Amino acid sequence: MNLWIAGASITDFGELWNRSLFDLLEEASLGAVAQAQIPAEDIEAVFVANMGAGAFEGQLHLGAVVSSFFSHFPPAMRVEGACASGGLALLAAEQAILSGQYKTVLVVGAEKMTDISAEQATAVLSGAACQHSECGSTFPGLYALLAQQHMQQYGTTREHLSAVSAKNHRHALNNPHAQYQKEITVQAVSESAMIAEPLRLLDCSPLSDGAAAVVLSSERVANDNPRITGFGQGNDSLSLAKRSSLTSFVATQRAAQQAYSLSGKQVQDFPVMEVHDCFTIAELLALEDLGVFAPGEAGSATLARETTYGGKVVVNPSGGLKACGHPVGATGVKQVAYLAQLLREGQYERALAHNVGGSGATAVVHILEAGEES
Amino acid sequence: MNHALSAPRYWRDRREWSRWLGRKGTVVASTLIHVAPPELAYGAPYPYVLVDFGSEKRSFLGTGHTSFLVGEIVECVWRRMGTPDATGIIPYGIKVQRLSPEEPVAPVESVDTLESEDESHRRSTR
Repeated sequence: MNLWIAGASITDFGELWNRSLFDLLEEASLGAVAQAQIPAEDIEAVFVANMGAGAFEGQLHLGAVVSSFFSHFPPAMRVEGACASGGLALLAAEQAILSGQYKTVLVVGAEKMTDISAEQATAVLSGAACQHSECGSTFPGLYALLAQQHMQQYGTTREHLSAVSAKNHRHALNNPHAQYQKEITVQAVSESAMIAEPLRLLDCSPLSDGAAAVVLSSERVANDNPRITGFGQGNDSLSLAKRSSLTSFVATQRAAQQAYSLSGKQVQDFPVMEVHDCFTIAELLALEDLGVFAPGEAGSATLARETTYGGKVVVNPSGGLKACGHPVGATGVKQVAYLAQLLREGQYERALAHNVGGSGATAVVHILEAGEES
Repeated sequence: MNHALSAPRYWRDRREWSRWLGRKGTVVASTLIHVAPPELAYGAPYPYVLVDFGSEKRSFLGTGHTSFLVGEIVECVWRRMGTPDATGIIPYGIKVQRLSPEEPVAPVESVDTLESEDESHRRSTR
């Protein structure tokens, strides 16, 4: 499968009051093209990932916005799948390349979330849930139900959840683009303000502004280009009430199996992963659904430092959604862009990215491998 | 939630409300939401409860208590859902409340036919 990551770029993540949605999209897009060292005219199409610019910023038609950054106005479209928008935009771009329609495309994801109040943003994000049958829920509220079920069925503890957040904040110290470059303790997480019981403030990813972009090509542009060797997408009921399980995401399991099968790799082949930790419980669900740990064991493994440097697998070296930040449309693209950089630098040979939409209705998994020497 | 505050949606949702009013089920999971959307902030923290009604599950806001325990029996009731917006419509909808100990706990079958306004009102106010 010829899918090369020719270039990648990630903006700062955070409360970026001095930068607009347009600024972020442009910085990431042109940054990825510059890193690819290709003429801008080589971009044959653009796939824009975004969840809610219409509600956050009153701006729609983002495909045309990004196309306008280029003098040749490449064809462009927006892809939306809540917090999985980035992963889905990558899938759309990959299919376009593999079909032979295009040789080189740009995928850019962005969200500008901090121009409105936290309460208004909470309302916008709740649109990722089923507005027909989950009226009155919030994004943290739905994950709180999942956390409660996991705690009840497997004995997952407050300390297990807190260990996820503390670990990801520690990892973010190495990421200059991260929203929070501040170490926090397990105790601080456990004592932070309650959001939706049992989830506390420091269990939750923040509201963030930011963008990320990658240039995908059917041809290897430089020797250090990583490859995408596997991908998969799974879906499940939008409503939690109609799920077969409240302690796992079937969508993640389906996406992972497709990606493992396509790449010929197994979960133990990956020394590093970016997984979707929008809430601490989400990282534990991800690690169990991807097969890294048996059901119910991810919490104790995290507390035992099995998901950090020196452990079984390094999970969320960027700081994850929790500490790097979660501009929702950007997140899926950022995960792949960040891992591509680690592979390009020779830090790892293989990596996995896992992106989730809403409370598990959509999941996308990508597998990256370092390019072989030519 | 803001989309609930429209006359056409109220009209469409009547059938759904009638189907749920009076049904009893068992709490599967619950949370207490402390940070709420603007239109629900007046009632925060408020409970949000996932209920097994036997043939299907569904989540609702809770009323009457702040905590709902797994295994408790609850009943669907008609309650105010939030604060009115500029249209002046007062949002109402289905919530669940604990069944008092003396009431029967057997699940009530689904009512799929549209009930009269009088019947809905009678059930909601008992």
